[in-house]
Amino acid sequence: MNGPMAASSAAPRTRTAHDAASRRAPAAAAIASRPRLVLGVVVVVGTMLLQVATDVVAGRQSARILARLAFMLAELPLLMPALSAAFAWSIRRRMSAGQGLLTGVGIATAFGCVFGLLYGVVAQRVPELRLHFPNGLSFSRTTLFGILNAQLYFGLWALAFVYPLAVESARVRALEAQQLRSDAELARLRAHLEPHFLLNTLNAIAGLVTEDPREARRLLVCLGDLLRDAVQDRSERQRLGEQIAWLRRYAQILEARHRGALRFRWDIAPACERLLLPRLLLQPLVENAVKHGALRRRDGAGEVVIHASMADGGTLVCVVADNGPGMPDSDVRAGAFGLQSVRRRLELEARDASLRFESSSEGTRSIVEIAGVREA
Amino acid sequence: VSAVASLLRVLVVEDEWPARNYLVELLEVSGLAQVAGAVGGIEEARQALAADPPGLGVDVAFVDVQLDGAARHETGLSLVRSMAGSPGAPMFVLATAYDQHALEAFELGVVDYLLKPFSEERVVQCLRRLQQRRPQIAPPATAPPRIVARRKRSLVFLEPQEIWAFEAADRLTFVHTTHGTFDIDLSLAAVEASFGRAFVRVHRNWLVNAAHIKELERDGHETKLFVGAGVADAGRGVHVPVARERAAAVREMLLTNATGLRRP
Repeated sequence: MNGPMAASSAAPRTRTAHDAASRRAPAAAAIASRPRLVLGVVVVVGTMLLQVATDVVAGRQSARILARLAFMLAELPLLMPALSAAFAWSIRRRMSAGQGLLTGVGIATAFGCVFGLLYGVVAQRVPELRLHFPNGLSFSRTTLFGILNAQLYFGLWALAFVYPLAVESARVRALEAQQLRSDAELARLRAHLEPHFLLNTLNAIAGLVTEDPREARRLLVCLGDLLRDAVQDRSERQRLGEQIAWLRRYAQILEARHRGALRFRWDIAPACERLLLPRLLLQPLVENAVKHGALRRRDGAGEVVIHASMADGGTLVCVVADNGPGMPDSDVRAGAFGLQSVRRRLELEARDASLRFESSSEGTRSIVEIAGVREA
Repeated sequence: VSAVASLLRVLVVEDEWPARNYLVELLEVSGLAQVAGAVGGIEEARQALAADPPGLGVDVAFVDVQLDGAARHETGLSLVRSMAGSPGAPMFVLATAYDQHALEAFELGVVDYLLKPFSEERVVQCLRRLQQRRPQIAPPATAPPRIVARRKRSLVFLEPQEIWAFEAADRLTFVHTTHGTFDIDLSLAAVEASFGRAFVRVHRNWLVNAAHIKELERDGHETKLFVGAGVADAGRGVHVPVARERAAAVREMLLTNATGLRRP
């Protein structure tokens, strides 16, 4: 478990990232982001200072160091925005990575060309700076130097401005994927009439039609109510009272299907009924209590008790208890039986929420505790 | 006799009460099968199918794949897996909501798949398929059909003549016998459909073995039967109410099969 705090802070961020991405072209939006711009500039300046520092340590002449510094100050502030602009443009044009790279190389080459020539001119005009190459000074050589040097700057620019962007967008994608996953999970839970349940219930009704028509009609009505709820797209949260009403229908169907082997009891404090909870949060707990608890008794005295009350300090406590043979320790720890979804929804949707199990040979209790639940 | 002998003897393994009764009803209605027993779990099914001590001697077991309340990871398929190919194993038909286990079922030699909800046509088609597959050297079908009941976790096999009456009470079905009272995992209608040939429905909640009716009592407008061994005061048995609208018919039936009392 990652802890409800981490998850609850991640959830709203996901939404923002998603909204921003859907409104604007992702890269253009990303490049313009101020924190990332500052970060990029810091990286570039830092790298340049490091280069100067290595020159100083190596004992190069101070005049030359100053000249290089001046060069950086002249070329970089022009080259970097140009590269960024070209990058944004290439994204807008939906260019491939290769095409974008070539554009960058082209721009760097053009700048390198110009500044290489300038270097040659300055070196010739101001010999005091001792900018001469050891193998003699020629414009072609300084131009080539400028071009190659500019490619290094291009690399530096990519590191400073594109790398954080790539990291950021990978993170956004991961969060979006997570969001989609949980959306799908929630949709499945919301419609929690999984085909097995539906088909088995229809089969039970088909069987009851001749034998107990009243019971068959009652089950049809229950199933209809559950279906209606699954089809109507309502908010992700619902009152505990509504949830309990749904679960009662669900329980009526299970009781009829396992006639003589299963009974439900309800103990819901009226004070809890208006509290807002994630939709059908308790359903998997009830399903488990039935399948892996109450029905494992072969003497036909299976019972599931659903209990909800307010503890001290405004904490809602919901308990789903069965009188089955209990589950082995390993299962309780692993949160087996597909209860991860309940955990996950508690993480995603509620602060300070927990799910724990108490199991003995007398039965199993699943306990959900949620602090500070709002009312509706 | 040959028609009865050619009926497929079936065991139904299904954990849900209405589904179990429904399948029993469909099997009986087909006129192709005779339900030898219906149980709700894998353990009971193993006992019922066990060759030693002799169980029900069934030709085919209809097994629900998803049995709630089974031990973890146990499904109807585990039962088939553990028995398929062993000597004396019956043929198997799986009942399920999806045929997601079709491949393994095919490898295990499962004869057919019934998808839920069941239909009469499909059950008949399945039974015809089973009849074709049935080993030609059928075991001598002389053994009278036995009835399987339940006491807590163990199964009890009963001869029809040991049974006094079936009673539906509080959503459960009980069988009253010379050995005591046991649970039956079927509704009265399903019992009537499968074992009811010698039994009379005297009340909405009672199905009585006519051979064991010992006394017909009238108490004002109420008619009652004493069913069991011996007569009411000294004997062991159960008092069974007779529905008012059936009283005349029951009386008629008893009198036509008895001599000694002059019909009015």
